[in-house]
Order: sequence, then C-alpha cells, then structure tokens
Amino acid sequence: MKWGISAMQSKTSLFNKEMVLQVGRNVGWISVIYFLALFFAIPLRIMMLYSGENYRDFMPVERLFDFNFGIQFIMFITVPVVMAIFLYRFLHVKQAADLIHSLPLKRQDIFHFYTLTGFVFLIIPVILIALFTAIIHSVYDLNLYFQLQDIFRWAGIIILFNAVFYLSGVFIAMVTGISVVQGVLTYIMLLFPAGFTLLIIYNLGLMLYGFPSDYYQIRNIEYLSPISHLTILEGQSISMKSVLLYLVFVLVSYVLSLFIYKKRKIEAASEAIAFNGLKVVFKYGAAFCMMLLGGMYFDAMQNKFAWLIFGYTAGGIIGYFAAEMVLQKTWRVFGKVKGLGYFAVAMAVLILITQAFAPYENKVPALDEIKSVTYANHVYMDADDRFAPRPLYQQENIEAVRKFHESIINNEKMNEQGMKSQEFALFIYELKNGDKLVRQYTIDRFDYEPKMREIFESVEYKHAHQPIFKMNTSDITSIRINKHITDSPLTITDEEKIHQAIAILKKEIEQEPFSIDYYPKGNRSSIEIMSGINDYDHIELKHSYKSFIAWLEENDMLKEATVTPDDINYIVVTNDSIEQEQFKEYPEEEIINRIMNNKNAIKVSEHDQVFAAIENAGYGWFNESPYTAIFVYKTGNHKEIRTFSDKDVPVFIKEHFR
Amino acid sequence: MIQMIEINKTFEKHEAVKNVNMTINKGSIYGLIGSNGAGKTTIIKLFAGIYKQDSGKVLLEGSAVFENQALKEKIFYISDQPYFFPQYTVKQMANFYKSVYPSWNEARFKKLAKVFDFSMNKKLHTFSKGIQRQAAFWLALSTMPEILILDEPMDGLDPVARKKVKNLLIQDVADREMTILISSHNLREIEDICDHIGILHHGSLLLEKDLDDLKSDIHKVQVAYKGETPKHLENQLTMLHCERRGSVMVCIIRGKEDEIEKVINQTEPVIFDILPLTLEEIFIYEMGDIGYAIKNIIV
Repeated sequence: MKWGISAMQSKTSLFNKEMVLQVGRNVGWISVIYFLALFFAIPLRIMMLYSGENYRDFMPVERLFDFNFGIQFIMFITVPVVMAIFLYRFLHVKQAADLIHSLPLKRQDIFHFYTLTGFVFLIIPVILIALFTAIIHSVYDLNLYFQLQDIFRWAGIIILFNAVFYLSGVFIAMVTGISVVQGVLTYIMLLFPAGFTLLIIYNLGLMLYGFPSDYYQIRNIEYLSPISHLTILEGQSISMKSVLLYLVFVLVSYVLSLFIYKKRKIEAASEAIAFNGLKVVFKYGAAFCMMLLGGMYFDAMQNKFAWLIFGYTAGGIIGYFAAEMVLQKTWRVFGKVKGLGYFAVAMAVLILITQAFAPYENKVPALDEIKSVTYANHVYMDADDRFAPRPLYQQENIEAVRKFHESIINNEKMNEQGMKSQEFALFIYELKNGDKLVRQYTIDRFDYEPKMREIFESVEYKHAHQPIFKMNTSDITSIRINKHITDSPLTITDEEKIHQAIAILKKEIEQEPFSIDYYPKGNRSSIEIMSGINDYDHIELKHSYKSFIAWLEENDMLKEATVTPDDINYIVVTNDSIEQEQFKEYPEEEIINRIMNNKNAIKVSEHDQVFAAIENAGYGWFNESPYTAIFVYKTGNHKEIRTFSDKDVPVFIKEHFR
Repeated sequence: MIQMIEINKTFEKHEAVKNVNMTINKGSIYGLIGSNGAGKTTIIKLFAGIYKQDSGKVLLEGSAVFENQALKEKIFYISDQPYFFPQYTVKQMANFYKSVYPSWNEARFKKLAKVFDFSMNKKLHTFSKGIQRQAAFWLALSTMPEILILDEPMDGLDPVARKKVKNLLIQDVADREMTILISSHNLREIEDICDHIGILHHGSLLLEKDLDDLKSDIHKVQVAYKGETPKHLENQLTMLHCERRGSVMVCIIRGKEDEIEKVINQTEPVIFDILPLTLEEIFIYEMGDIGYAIKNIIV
C-alpha cells in the first residue's frame, strides 16, 4: 500500500511552489538587479531622451543596444554567470550538497529543475524590459526612431546570449567544486575559442616561416568568443548562422552538463576540479596556454629569439605551478616537478615536430598548379570589399609573383636583418585543385626592387590593386584636387570633365613606372575621387603625371590644383640635414625656427628659382637629405619643411653652398 | 532491512571504508561507533544515497539506494552539523520537505510543535546549535521516515533535550517499526537506545553485536565471604575477570544469570549482588585482546 502511495506521489513534479520559492529566495535578487540595471539603461534612457526639449537630440536607432551599451554589456556578461554560480552553489558547499542529495530527488530532475528555473529567473527581466519598452514605444509613438520589431529582436538576441553565458556557467559548475573557480573558469571557457586560436596562430607564425598569422588573425576572430561577439553587436546585427551555432552550443552544453552531473561525486564539493581526468587536462592545458602566451608576449615586446625562448619557458613554468596551486589549494607546490619534466619533454618534442615542417616553409606551388595568385602588401579585412586586391591570372604575372616568393624564402635568414623599409608581403594562391595556399612575410623592399618592379609595373597588377580601375566612372560624383595649402580644394563636378580626367588618370597609372621610394619628389597634390555614397579613392598627383598636368593646364585648373611660385612667399634653404630623431625630440615649430635663423641659409624668392625648388623638393619628414628647405606660403604664412637630395638639388642651391 | 555488502569507498588516495558488510533489521536501532576518521560519516552518507560506493552494494529491501527516488522517500538523513537553506524558518523548511517527501505528516508536525518549545517562524540561523539540531529532529520525524539516519546526533544537545529526543525516537521505533542508524564516537552516549552495535576502526567493521544477547550472556558479580574464598568457584564458572577490593570480589562472569546465582549461593557468600554492566565493560571483557585494542575507540 505504502509503495503505491509513494509511487504515485513521486510523479508529482519538482516544479512546485516550494521548490520554485527556494530558488527564488536564493537567486531572486539577481533578477531584481538585472531588471533595475536594464530599466535604467533602456526604458528610462528613452524617456529621458524623449522628454521635454531633449527630444530633438533623439536620433533614430537601429538597435536597442545603442542605449547605454556599456551598462547593457556589463550586465549581459556578468548576470548569467552570477546566476549560474548562485544557483549551483549547493554543489560547492558540502553541507548543502549533502542535504540536496539526501532528498528523494533524482539528479536529472534536480538538474532540469534548477537549470530551467534559473533560466526563467534570468530572462524574466529581459522580457519585462522588452514589454516596458514596447509600451513606451506606443505611448510616445516612437515609430520614427525605431520599430516594435527592433525591441523583439533585441530581446531575442539577449535571451540567446544569456542562455550561452548561463549554460557555460552551469557546465563549469558541474566540473568544479569551488564557486570562485567556477566564475573564473566560465570566463576562461567563454574566451577560450578566440584566445586559444589567437595563441596558436600567433605561435605558428613564430615557429613556421611564412605562416600567415596576420592573415588569419584579422579574419573574424571576434566571432569566436561570445564575449567579443557581444561587443560588436552594438554596430551590426547577428547572422542566422551564429544564432544556429549558439543554439546548438546551448543544447549541447545542457545535455553535457546533465551527463557530467550524473557522473559527479558529491564529495567533490570544495575541490577545484571535480574529476581526476580533468585535473590533468587543466594542469597541462594551463601550462601550454601560458607557454604560448609567454612566447607571444616576449616576441611582441622584444622580438628576439632568446627572449622568445625565455617567454616559452617562463610561461610554461608559471602556468604549470599556477594550475597546481589551484588544484592543491596551496602555494607550496614547488616540490612537484615531475609533471613539469614530462611537460618540458613533450614540448621539446612538439617544437621538433614543427621544425619538421620544412616542406611547408619551402613550398611555392608550381606554375601549372596555380589558378591565380593574389599578392598584397597589407592584410585586407574583407575579400568581398570592392576595393580589395584582386587575384592575378596572367601566366607571366603569376610567374613573377612565384619568383618573388621563392627569393623571399631563399633569403629567410636575411629578410629581417637591418631593414631600411619594412614591408609586408602576403601571397594567396588559388590552386587548380581547389586548395588555397597562403603565406606572409616581412621583408625590406629595397632588397627586392627588380622582383617587385616586374609585378608592380604589370597592367594586370595595377588593375587588380588600384581602386580607380574598380570604380564605375558613371558613379563618380566629384573629383577634388587638394594642394594642401588652401582651405578650398579644386573640385570638379562636371560630368564630361570627370570622364576626361579619369580616362587620363587611368592611362597615367597604367604607364607609371615602379618607384621604390615612398616619397617621390616634386609637386604633390592629392586627388580624391568620390563615388557613390561611401566609395572614395585617393591618388597622389605625381610629378610624372605629365599628361594629366597638361590637361589641368588646358582647362585652366593647374593653378588651383598645384602649388605654383605664386603661392610661395619665399623659400629658405640650408645645407643642414634633419635627423629623424630630431622630429621625435623637438616640436616642428622649433626645427623650422632654427632653420629660418640659420646664418648660412639662402633665401629664394625669384620666380624661376622657386619653381625649380618646387619641382625638385622631396618630402620633409623622416627623409634625411643633405639640404633642408622651409617653404613659406603666402596663405596664412604657413611653413612647410622640405628636403633636397644630392641628386635632385637645383644647381643654384648647390652652387651657393659650395 | 538495509544492507551493505562488500562496500569500498576511497577519497583521492585515502581508503575511507574497506570491505564493510552490515545488516540493519527493520525496527532496530543500530549504533555505529568509531573514533574520528574511522569512516562513520562515509558509511552514513552511503546509506543515505549521497555518496556512491566504489564497489559493493547498498541495499534497501533488496534494491540499490543510490539515485532511487522511491527508496529515498523512505529515508531521512540528519547531518552531523544541522544545515538548512539560508534565511529559512522551521515553517519554511517544513513546507519545503512537505513538497519533497510524500510521507510528510502535517498533523505530526503540529503536534511536535508542543514538544519543541521554540518558534517555527523564526529564522533558523538565529538559533543556537542545539536548537537547530532539535529543529532537524522535528522536521525529520514529521516526514515519518521508515529509516532515519543520524550522524552524531547528540552533539550539542543538553541532557534534557537528549532525553526528549531519545524518547521520541524510541516511540517511533515502537509505534511504527522505524529503523534508525545512529553514529557516535562515544558508546555511552547511545548505548541506552541501541539494540545493535557496530564498531568501526580505520574503515573496517571490527564487530557487529546484538546488545540483548551480549547483556544476557555476561554479568558483573560482587561477592564477599567470611574467611577464605571457596577454591572451586573458579572452576565452576567462566570467569573473564576477577579482582579483589578488600574483602569484596568483583568478577565478570559469562553464563546464564540463574546458573551463576545458583553456583554462588551454594558457596554461602556474605554479600552477593549481580550488577549491571556498561557496554564499554562488556566490550572490553568480552573481546579480550581486541577489546583492549578498541578501548580507546569506544570511550
């Protein structure tokens, strides 16, 4: 009889008033704080912005994240984790663990009940805030600024992110026996995918010559951790793929947590890691990650091989002992060096293994394997960007890039020694078999002038890289030519003139020879081409663009477009050179004054001489040349530092200082 | 009947319980005696279904207790330190247990309010340790468990409260055949209510005894003679121990009470009393060498 009663009654759900009350008494305060903080951040903020005179400041918003995002962000990353900590505190306090697990409740029921009830307590504030905002929205009639559906999208995203953070916390609660460790490990786990990827990519870049760590790093690493993903939600919406991925994560961690909870020993309360197998993973994982971090830090700070080795060693040792301290809950762990020995041996083997990747380092695909190659001297964010570098398909250009790449590999030892002009080189090969081969290097461009010339002077390369060739001429709205000494640049908006100018500029660029110097001499104005709403290209009006200059003159625009002797009051030239260091030490004004007051200086103001000076002056900054000039412009008495190289200095100046 | 068969339990590298076999019959009060660290709490928590054994079986009515909801509904466990949810009153705890234990008896709970004369609406953490422990008994008895598992339950109770609690326990055992497992480091503390005793030492069960058998089988006799002690007395009785205090002899004798009486009366003593033996004495004399070894444990 009794059996019958208990069997019947045991069906009564755990979701009864008393159990819910128990959770509420335990974690209800978290919901209250969450609600108040969100209320302050969103509905109150909207009301403040919209009330009285302020409503004019009220700008249309795309997302509810725009309101006090800082407060929202802090709440979103802390509240779910704190909720998980307090909810499963009973697993970490011995007496509470004994009490709960002596009750006639199955672990799976305990898990379902606590996890789901906690989640409800977590999202009630979000739902309330969404409702509140919706009410305010309709009362104030805020349709002009944002839509009702923006509110629901906001609530949906937040509930999803809350679930991700919360279940990470729940999962870690099952694995550890100390609430503080739970908190720390939860954040480590949330950051782990991004952090670990970064560490691995960076360190592979150190280990393998040519490994494109910057190319990988710059790609979407913020999507790899929900924390960093949350930071960018202010600016962009979330993709369907991410939503699905997070949902899968939530479900998997729910099931996995339940599985681990069933396996958990209750006596593990107050132990840092509740499972022996995981202790090993934790210990060596911490040592490994700290080792990589140490290497990364010392490489970034010192960039010396000896420091790198020091970083690896110190990082590994610190990580190992730190993990041991957490596990043993004491700092007296320095006697336990046997495991560290194993670790050191394993790492030595690992480093040897990476050294066996010589084929990786030496590989340049054969010409007949290559479908196309993209060569760039910078890492670009978005390959779909209209102005991103495009691949080269012509055989002779592919071959030129291959040769360039091969010579970089052959010079491995010398490439980063005593660099005059550091440059980045990125190669992305698309192979015929569908594979992709990416390498990156840091080189000194002066070492590779002939190789680079071959690539840079090809029409295909110019078309692949220069935005002007990627713009639709009919979209161009205006061209501005700025000589940088007046406030109002020359602006061309006439459609026919634009077409002419662009056609000539394209021809100029196609014919332009490669120059190893970043700072060419002569008159330098800049051409800004505006197209569409956001597209924008910037081209230097080089001294060598003879036909473009001729076209400007024909159209009576040259005077406005470039600096002429009429713009200049006078020029002061000395035969002093300014060393790079001086720019760091002294303000520009002081340097200018010193040169102006130099007794040996020559003052040039005669028209032809000024013209010769304009045509031959080099760039002033960081460009050590034997002659330094100060151009004093008529407008605003503006002064500019320029230089003359030995080669280009006008004869009359050279004569003067002889 | 609850049983432990070949139970082993290890924490990290420490073997807390080694090959323990135990049987507790329905309606009996089983006292588990052992010094600190002997493994009492581990055994208690294994019975309560909190810990899972490394090997062996813990059975109630032939089924494993661990994660068995139906069986655990019949068991109530009181820990060595009373623990309640933070900020809870007796009433709130009662409501909680009511929602978890189907056998909860509200009438009993109200009736017991008269026995325990402290407020059920005051927060439990404001009470002293002794009151908290009484509250634990109040709640435990209100769930009407078939098996009550008590870890060091008399700690912190004053003599009056002890008496009160013991009476309540005995009453439940008598009325509805409740089974009790009770642990203590002090034999004297629980000998008056136990009918079975198990002694645990370094994780092993040294012995398990029925106290009624023990007590009926061994006797303390005080006897005095005018003049010489009869010589054949020692041959006729199984003397475990005998010492002389002046003219009075105090002997521990194994055997049936009436037979001992008959033999001694034939020797015409001046004084002859059969005295009650404390459990401690029984163990020491009964066990001989082992008894001396465990003397330190049970006192």
